[in-house]
Amino acid sequence: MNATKALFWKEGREILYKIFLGLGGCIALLLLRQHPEFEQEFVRNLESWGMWVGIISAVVLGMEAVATERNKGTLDFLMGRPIPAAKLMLVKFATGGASLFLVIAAFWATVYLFPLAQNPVDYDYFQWIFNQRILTNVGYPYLVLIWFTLMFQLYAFVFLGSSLTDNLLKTIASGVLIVWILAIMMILGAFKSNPSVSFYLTHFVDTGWDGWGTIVRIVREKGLLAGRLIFVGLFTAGIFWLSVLSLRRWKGGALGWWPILIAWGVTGGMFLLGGYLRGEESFPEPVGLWTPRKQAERVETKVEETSSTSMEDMDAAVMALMRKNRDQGMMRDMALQDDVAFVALRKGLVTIDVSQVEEPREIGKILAKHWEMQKIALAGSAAYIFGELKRGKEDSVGVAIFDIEDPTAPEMRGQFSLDTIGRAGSVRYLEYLGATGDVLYIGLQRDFHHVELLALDIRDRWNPIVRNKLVLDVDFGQADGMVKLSGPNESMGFRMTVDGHLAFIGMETGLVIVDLSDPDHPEVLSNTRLEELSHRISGSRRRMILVEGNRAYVERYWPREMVVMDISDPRQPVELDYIRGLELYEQDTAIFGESIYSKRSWGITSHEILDSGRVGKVRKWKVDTEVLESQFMGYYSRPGLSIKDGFAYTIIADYLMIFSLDE
Amino acid sequence: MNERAIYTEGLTRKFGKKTAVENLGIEVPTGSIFGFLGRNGAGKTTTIRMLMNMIEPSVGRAEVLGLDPQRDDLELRQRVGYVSDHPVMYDWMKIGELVRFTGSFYQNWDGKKVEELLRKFDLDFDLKVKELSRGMNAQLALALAMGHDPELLILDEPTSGLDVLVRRDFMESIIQVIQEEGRTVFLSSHLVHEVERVADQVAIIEGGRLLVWGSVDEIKGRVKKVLVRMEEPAAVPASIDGISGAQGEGAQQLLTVVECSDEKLRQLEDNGAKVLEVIDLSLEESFVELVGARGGVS
Repeated sequence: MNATKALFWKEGREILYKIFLGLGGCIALLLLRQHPEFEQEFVRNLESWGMWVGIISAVVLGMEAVATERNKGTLDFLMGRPIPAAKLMLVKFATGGASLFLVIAAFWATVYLFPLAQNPVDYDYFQWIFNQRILTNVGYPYLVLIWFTLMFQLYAFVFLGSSLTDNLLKTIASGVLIVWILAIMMILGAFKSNPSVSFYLTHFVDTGWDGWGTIVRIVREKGLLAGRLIFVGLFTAGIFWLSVLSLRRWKGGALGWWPILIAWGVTGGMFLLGGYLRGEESFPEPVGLWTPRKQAERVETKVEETSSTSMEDMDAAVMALMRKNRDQGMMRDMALQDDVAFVALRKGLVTIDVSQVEEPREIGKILAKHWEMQKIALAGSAAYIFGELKRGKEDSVGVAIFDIEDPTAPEMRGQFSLDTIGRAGSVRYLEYLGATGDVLYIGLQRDFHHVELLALDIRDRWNPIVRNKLVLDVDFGQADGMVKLSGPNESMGFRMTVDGHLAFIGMETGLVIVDLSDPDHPEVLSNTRLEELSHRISGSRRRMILVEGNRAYVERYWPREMVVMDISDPRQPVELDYIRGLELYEQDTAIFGESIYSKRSWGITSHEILDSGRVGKVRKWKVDTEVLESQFMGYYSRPGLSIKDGFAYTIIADYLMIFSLDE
Repeated sequence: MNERAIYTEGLTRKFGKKTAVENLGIEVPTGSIFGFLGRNGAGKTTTIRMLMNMIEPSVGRAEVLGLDPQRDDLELRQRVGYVSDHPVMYDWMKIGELVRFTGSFYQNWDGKKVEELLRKFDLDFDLKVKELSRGMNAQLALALAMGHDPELLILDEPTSGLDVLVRRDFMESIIQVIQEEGRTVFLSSHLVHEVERVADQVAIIEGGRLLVWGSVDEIKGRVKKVLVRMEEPAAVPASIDGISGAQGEGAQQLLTVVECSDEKLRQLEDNGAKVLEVIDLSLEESFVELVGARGGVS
């Protein structure tokens, strides 16, 4: 028996009972899972169970490595022999690491071999789906690898703690302390200040068990997986080497309680100080343009119809807001032209001069009888507002047309009912309304099987003529439009946007680009299937679409990310990259400069897109909760988000809000 | 072959503010049996741990078998046998397993020799370490330390914690081993009479500092009891250096004289103390007097 074998033999014998304990624990969990209530809990918290098994194993296997030998005195026995400290430690480290791998592998083996029970209770059902999606898409070997590479890092820390101390309590205290210090460094932004570093840390250090599908991305992307392995390898090697150095330096001695307690004190202090320095999450405010008092004064003195909502405490980057009289209905949508905001009210149209962003001023208004407005689009001197025409039994949907040549005196000039093409009754909701040149596009979700893009000729602004119906029929053979596309055989959602003469439609299968340059003969240029790493699980999802220049950003369902596509040749869109970490919302989104802006129910967010394609700085402009809660927001609408000259204009909670986007 | 098995120069080790070993300079001749004496806590174990590179010196240097313990610690351990003050071994192992395990680390392990020693000590290979008495445990540690035929055997308080009978048996074991091998032995102990039986040379350490170092006879000759009769009942003159104590009242007194010499005896006579008898001390008595003079032991 050579020295290495002898050391492995000894370490193996000493650690054997812990391996059996770990395996026993996994079997015990498996037995417990036979009980339906426990299984429900297990499914609900699968990631937590995996974490606990990993953490406990890492701590138990790491903490005794050196400290116990030092405590018992057997370390002296070994150190008195001609064994290099590095070899001695490496054998210990490797034996513990292999044991950790075994226990983690055993835990996940029970999960894979004995599938998670499906529970009919809604919440658990979706949790089951979520877990199942990860299990299916990641696969057993990779899942073990991901979990092991995470826990191995914790194990290395505890091992280091063990090499510094002479009893288990000190080991845990010092090992956990080291993790704490790192965690605090991360909290303080020592690492996260750099978005790329943050991105890689997320993929290298985390389990990736999240709604974004990070874990799937890690295992599918060879570069990320290799990066993770290299990172963990180097990182743990570094920690291991510190352990060796500490053994060489403090061979017989060990860290006393005082240094550990002092370090804990310092760490606690750092934590508190860090919290103090970071303060509450802050949101940018328009410096020098708005103060709560000024706003309150303005609201009180100039906007007499404002409700009794107190503005005194409003602490948000709202530069200007204007509450409309409830009689005229809530604000539904807005569009910006020059310095005028055209706001579709439920019952009409109001024009607001926003040339002074601190002081928006109502300059015109018109109510439209029987109409309930939803969405507005502008085309030169005309405003088209899609809405419902309420006439008792003759309810319909259509477009109300306003002359806005003089914004101070808007005038209703006509209307177009979808009844004219026999479709109004089956409209579920409006997906898109936009005007390009002399064509007004209306995207409609009709029923569970049809979506439709109408092209209206608006050369005569007040009398639109249907030029084309592009029907996307999800069931073969049931198309009644001019263009048919095949889709999955279940309900579907879609998002669409029109850019120039091209319509970009985010279908469930992927991206469809339609050439609308000849309204009489729309042509499907491409139907690009987006690879999904997982089957869609629940309900129909709109696939977010953003178009800017030669780039289309198309949402991938799972892993959740925005696929960046080169659309310079619309007949052959090419998937270039993907952006992860973007929060995708159903509400309006716009690209401005280097950032993607999303309108949220509570404000707006922006995600800076780096040259690398990663998400950089994330900013938020948030409206005070009190203001939000003062309004009813249950109505389904997606008010537009307009960005102009460094300001974002949108409607939130029945307010027109203008945000300064400056730093 | 090096003439000196161990050499230290200004060897110092501090633990925080406490100095465990201070400016230690000793030289252990090759082939000698060197007794390293000192009270508990005097710095013996710290010195040995520095020699074995189990801790690093704060200042100074050491040389063991001509090797630098810090630089050449692996080679040093191949050539040195070491038994710590409280040898702790893997109690779940059987003696046979422990012997094989230990032997795997040495290039020139002599399993048969260890077997012989264990047989001599009446230790069964199938016994588990946890089943051994303290004496047997010490014997096992000694046998393991001998397995690679070390040029130097360092024994740190090898009989510590053993009862009187076991201690005597164990010392016999050591003597057997030493006598058979004729190697250098560095034996640390606070039990002077044990060391006196075997040691050629002795160093006494107190409070981390070396008090005295030399052959057993030299050290014994350094302290003597001197029976004097004073011409007048008076205190022993304080001007005479080296008188560490006086017993008796009245005219006759028994003085303890450190570094006793003819010069000091003449000084006594000159100060009215007639020397009646000069009494030799044992090593243990000398140790007590030397350490007492330094550390306040009476």
